Amino acid sequence: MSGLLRVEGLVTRFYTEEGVVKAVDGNSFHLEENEALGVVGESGSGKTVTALSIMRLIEAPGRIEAGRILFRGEDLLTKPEREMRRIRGRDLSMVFQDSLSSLNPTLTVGAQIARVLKHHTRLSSRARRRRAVELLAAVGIPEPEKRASHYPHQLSGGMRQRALIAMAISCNPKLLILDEPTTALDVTIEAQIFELIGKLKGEFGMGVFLITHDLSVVASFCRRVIIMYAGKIVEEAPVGDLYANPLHPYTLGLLRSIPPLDGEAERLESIPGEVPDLINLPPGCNFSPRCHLADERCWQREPELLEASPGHRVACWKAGKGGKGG
Amino acid sequence: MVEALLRVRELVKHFPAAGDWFAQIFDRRVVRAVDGVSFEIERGTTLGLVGESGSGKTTTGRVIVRLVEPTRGEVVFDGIDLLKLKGKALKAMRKRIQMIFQDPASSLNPRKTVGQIVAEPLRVHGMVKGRDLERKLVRTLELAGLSGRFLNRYPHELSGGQRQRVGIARALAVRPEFIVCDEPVTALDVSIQAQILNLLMDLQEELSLTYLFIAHDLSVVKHVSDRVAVMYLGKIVEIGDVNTIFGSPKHPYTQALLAAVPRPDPKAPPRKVLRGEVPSPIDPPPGCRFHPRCENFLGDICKEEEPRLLRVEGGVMVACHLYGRGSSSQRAPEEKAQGKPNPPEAPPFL
Repeated sequence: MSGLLRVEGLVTRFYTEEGVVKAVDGNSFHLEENEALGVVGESGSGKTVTALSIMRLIEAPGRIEAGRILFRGEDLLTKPEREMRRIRGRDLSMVFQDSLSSLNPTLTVGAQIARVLKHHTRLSSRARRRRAVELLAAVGIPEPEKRASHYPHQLSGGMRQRALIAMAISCNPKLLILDEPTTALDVTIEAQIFELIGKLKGEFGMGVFLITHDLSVVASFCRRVIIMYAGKIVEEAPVGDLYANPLHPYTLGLLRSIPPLDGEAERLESIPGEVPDLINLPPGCNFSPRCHLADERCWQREPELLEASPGHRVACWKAGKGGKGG
Repeated sequence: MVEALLRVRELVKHFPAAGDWFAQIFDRRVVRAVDGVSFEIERGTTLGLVGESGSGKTTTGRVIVRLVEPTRGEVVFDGIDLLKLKGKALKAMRKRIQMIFQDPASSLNPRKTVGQIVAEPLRVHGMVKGRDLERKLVRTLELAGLSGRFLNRYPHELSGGQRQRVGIARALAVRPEFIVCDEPVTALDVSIQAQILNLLMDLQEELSLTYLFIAHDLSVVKHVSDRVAVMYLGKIVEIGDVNTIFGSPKHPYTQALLAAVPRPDPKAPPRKVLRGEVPSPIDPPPGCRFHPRCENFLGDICKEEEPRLLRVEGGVMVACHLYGRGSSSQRAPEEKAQGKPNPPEAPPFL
């Protein structure tokens, strides 16, 4: 298992006037070729910062403080920016959440895709334009010829998101990072987009790092899942395991707060309270102030992420058999 | 029969397709946002309104609170024709009908404290003054699950969930009977979403509120609603008891929507993909508006004739030629296994 991506002990912090934001706090995980890894958590859990760290797009006052990001065996954190520019968009691509603000409003969609191709390939300008239209067709945009000459504001949200994906896959990346790619979209469009990404994953052996808050999307698309809370991975498991046997109380809370679509609706079990302030994290387990199982030990000592069963890791003092204690 | 608190009949709202008045001289096309929608909501119940973007669900909600003036149609609230109200009578009615908005960040005035925001409707309606005001504000905040110490805070100091609670408190301040909830949990995190849904349901019971609950998240709508209406391109395609519709959807669009929703279960059958996008409401397809995307396309009838809402088994009303105009020979695929559906009868009225 060489691994397409191996992140080890990643620490990313933001030095703000109010204090130090511990956005990502010592996380390790890996992602294989042709694998979809779901990263689930609420706002402020560190999902997006993790992705931006992998892309090396953290800007001041943020800093990657520790860790290694091994992409196909090479540490991205030691690469000069010049080389990162060659890697970004070619081997490593990211689709951002807000499609309107991540497209250039002054360029047609076709021209934007052609630009990426110009940066990374030796295609002629004509070939680039042709390829841009092909890509728009590949992501299921009707009348791709016509749409290529449209500006972002002329497209619907679903089409813009697909245009962004077309741009992200234009150079057949090895790893595609998707940050809440469908949050603003209707379920029918969401289903279309995941069908497309699944196809590309199979065809090119692409790894997919899918950031979402939606456990249902993960269940239908991913093989493994990481649950993040306040900057830390609290649980990691193959998808089947996680849903059949969630070990962390936070994971359980998330699963129980989804209103069921099939079967009878009872009162939802909500998680009390809110995500903590990343500047003033509680001592001990970050989740302890909201956890109904928490006791003295949880408030004082931080649990380690330990393997409960093969491939299933959890960071919780109360997590059944697996949590042997640190 | 239980009386309907709200009765909407043949509601139509067309917006000019062109931007300003000058462009409108040359471009007379209209966006048919809502195109003949009828429904009723009984007192103390919730009607869920679902559909994709562009289905007209938000416009429908806005017409009911008179944020948007409809092109045609009738909205009767507790026996009073809402659309004919003016001046004092309209103002008095606004006290009885309130709205909760999708984005709590942009629907709260950032320059006002929570106390001022919640006091605003009380002030407008001259309901409470002086010393009673603060007591009333604290009580209202507590109803929404916030303590009195939030009175002097500003919206930016609050989390998304707390802001939505302020939005709810503002709606509750004048003690309305009816609330239009427009995507009230869409902008919230999952764990917070559950808190707010529980709060809305508790408040309904406690204050016997009636809701029109607009959302695109089907599981949320299923959870809070008694009845549900599915909209597509300005029309209701299916309406009825929520469990009946979610258990056995009749309209091919409702079926496709439900099949596209992912389940929080890796063992669930794969999502089914509905092709295409919602067509432009400027020029909706003739006949049944769903026919270009429909898997059960029957031929010319779907292209030429607009299906009417007809009552089928289980009391659900469906607008689809599969359920015929009196003939029960054509059936939806699911029906075949379950045997004959009851012959549809003409609707008395929704």
